[in-house]
Amino acid sequence: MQSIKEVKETIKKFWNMNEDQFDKEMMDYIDGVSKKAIDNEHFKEEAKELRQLLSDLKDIPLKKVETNIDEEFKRRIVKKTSKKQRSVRRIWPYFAAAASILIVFFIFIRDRSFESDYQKLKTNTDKLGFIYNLNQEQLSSNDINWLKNEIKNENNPNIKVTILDLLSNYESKLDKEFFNALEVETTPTVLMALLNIVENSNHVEYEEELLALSERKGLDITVRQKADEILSIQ
Amino acid sequence: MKTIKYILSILSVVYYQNTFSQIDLSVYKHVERIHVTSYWGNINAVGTFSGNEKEFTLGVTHTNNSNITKRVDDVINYVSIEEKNKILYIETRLPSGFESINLDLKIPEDILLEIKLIRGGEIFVDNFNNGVEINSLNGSVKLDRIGEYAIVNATNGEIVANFKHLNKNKPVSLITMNGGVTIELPENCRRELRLISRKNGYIESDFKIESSQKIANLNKKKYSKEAIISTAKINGGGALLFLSTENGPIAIKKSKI
Repeated sequence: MQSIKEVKETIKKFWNMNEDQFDKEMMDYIDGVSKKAIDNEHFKEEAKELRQLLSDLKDIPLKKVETNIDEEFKRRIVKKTSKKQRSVRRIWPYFAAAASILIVFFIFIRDRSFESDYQKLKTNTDKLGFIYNLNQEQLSSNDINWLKNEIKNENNPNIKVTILDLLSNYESKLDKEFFNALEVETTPTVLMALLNIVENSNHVEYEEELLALSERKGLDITVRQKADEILSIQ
Repeated sequence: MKTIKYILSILSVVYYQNTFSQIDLSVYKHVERIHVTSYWGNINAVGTFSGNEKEFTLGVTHTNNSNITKRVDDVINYVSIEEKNKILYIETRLPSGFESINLDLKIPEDILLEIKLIRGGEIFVDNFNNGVEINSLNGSVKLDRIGEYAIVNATNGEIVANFKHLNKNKPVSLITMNGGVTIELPENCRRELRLISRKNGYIESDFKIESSQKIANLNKKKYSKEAIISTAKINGGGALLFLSTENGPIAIKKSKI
């Protein structure tokens, strides 16, 4: 017995039909409009069963759709949309405020640094207090570079000693350039504060600077002794 | 008769030296600050009462290379005086050989005083209401009855300072290299302390020292070979009190004023 697929192919070949034409012919046959496919018994059997199935389907009573369902559906859509709009409207001011704060914060951070705050200070007392309070902060590499430069730029020796006391906490971040300050500094208490850092620093080569300092004319004897002491340990 | 003449001539010299060998600076009484720069010699500055009659004078004593000392009349040959932006600059001439120039200043007590002593000498400052800033090389610095604050840097010499009142927001910083640091503070003074005594030091305090660290030789007059470096508070803390010496003790006393 031929399979339905083989029957289908035979009919399509016999009537020279493509797939769509066959489907249409088949539906017409089931509906009783066409009799072309009638030659094949197996096909007739299949068609009969299909016809019966369609007849049964037609006899099933239709469930009547409730008339208010459209209204309900529409109402739900409107409600959902308006709720969404309301929540967006409610969130928007907070979002805008947060965005503004973030923008201001980033502008503020970009323009504000310890250095720029320090440069605004006019009196030595304000500068001293500011530098000492930096002990409570975690300094970045930029901050340390600024403080290293302040050792060269600042005039007041007490401010310099306070900076050096602060920088002694960041000894590992001090490079050879920092120790160049030994060559230009003249105030003995500042030189001693520098040498105290040098003494605790093992990672930088500074023998040249120490020798130059030790040989400087008019150098305070205590400073010279300290420089020689460090050189002798090396 | 000869004796009387001799006594009179001595008295006239003493009178002349004490009366005429100083110049009147009252023309500068409107200045806010005085900056004194000297090389060798002592500086004695006294704050005068800020009434209508403020005494504002400068006396100069010169010691030459032969070690002969005299008060000078021609002050202008030893000291330059210039005013710029409400600051009065007083500067001694560059010394020739070992000559030294001592300055005696009487200044209205409300003027801020700054002193820079480049080579050496003793500094004594008494009775200033608005703070003092001193940078000295060789010699001690003594401050008496100071108001607001003090920033002092000395090299070879002790620093002794007492305050009649302090500005609670302004730091005090006293730093020397060889010598002790002694400070007298009002009893209710609140300060954040940074104490550094690198060697031969101890810390003496009339105030209760509040610190999370143990401070070596606190109130023990025993010279430590080890560095004493500490952070502490008195009366709960406040503005900075930075006291530092490379070689010597530190004393914090309660003021008797």
